[in-house]
Amino acid sequence: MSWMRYLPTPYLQAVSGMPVHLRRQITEVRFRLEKPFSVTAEGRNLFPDREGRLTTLQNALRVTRPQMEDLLARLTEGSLYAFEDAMAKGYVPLENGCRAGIAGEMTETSHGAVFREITSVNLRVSRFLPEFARPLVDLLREGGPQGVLVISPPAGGKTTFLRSAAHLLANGSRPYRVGIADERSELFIPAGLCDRITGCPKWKAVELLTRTMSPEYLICDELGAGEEAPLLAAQNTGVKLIASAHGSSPKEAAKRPCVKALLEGGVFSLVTVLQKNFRVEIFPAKEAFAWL
Amino acid sequence: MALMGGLLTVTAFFLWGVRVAAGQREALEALDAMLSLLRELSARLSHRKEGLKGIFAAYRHPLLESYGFLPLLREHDGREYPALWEAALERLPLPSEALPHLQALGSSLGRLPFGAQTEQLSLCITLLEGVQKSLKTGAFQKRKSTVALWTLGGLLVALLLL
Repeated sequence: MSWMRYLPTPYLQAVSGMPVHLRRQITEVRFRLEKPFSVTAEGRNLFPDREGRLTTLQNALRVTRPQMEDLLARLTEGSLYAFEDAMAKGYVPLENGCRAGIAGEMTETSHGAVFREITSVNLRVSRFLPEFARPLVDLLREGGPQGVLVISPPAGGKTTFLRSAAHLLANGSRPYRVGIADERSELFIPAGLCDRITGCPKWKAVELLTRTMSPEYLICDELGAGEEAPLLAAQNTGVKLIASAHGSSPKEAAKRPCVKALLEGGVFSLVTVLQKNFRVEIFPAKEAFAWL
Repeated sequence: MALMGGLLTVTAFFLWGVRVAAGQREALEALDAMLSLLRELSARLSHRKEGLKGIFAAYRHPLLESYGFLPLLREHDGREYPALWEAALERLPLPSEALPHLQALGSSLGRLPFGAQTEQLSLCITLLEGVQKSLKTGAFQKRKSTVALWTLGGLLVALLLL
């Protein structure tokens, strides 16, 4: 597990000592300055002690200042300045699609808001489940390229699903050219016909990929405000978009102006709703958004 | 026999003088090498905000390699650079005037935001260029004088012994 190399020694020991079945299910590792250290696994917040035995909140390991500094040095590979832009947006991109969210005290400077002190780090462990998006990709291969909107609540597996979709589409006996607009360096794909732009706003990455890489599918995570124009433009060039949006239902997702604009623009033909335990439901967009 | 002893003493002092002069030349070469590295760091930071790990992995300099300075920095295993930099500096035969500037730079290497890091690098380069200039002024003459003084010292010792 490559993400474990980011952990300072006491926490590496704590996580390594956890029962294997729990360790494999870890989705988040949280450090809070002078507060309890916790991991999230199987949807629960757990507090391993130095030996990895689960303990209570009161007896949890406390993160000291030098340990927090050590953690940040590890996350930034000893080069804080190189991650400054991403850190101002609240995260540090890591290898293999992992990401560390950060929180703390911010201050306004002439270059915008920056962190004066980082007091919380949430190391989000990326998962690669290659077959997760198989039902959708089989449908796309049978029915021909179509735009897809992927919906789930936060931490519901959208990124993992998109990663799987990109992997399955870009590989196999009839691979597609897949462009990935990966603003937060989360959609790492180990192989295949993928062209990926990271570290720049999604709308910019979409524009560049459409213009220069002529993808057949364009994949991007978490649609946000102001991103509809380049995505609609990409649609006009024949590129099919697979994108995700927060929401526990199609109705909730469509409250976002960007999602609504793209639906009205006919970008999505299919809607995928991710349920608990990796259950995938696929509907025609016309059916899911009939009320729109 | 006494003459032979005297001759040996003078030769020993002469050779020691040559060694001291060679040390002075090495110190200047080490300073030149460090300045080259800092200029490379500054350029790659300014243009691409590249991480130190990548820069140290790609940068090549025969002198910094042979003294083990760069190999030590490449051993970075996720911890901070200041400790590694301090240890790596000890491997180089740097002039004593340059050492405090390099130590000051190393104490916050990789810990600062972009603006502050590049400013500190520029300051260190400027200060080291000053040291380099003062050391290079008449460096050849200094080395010749060093050899001459040691030889003369040897001659005096030999005369006293005789």
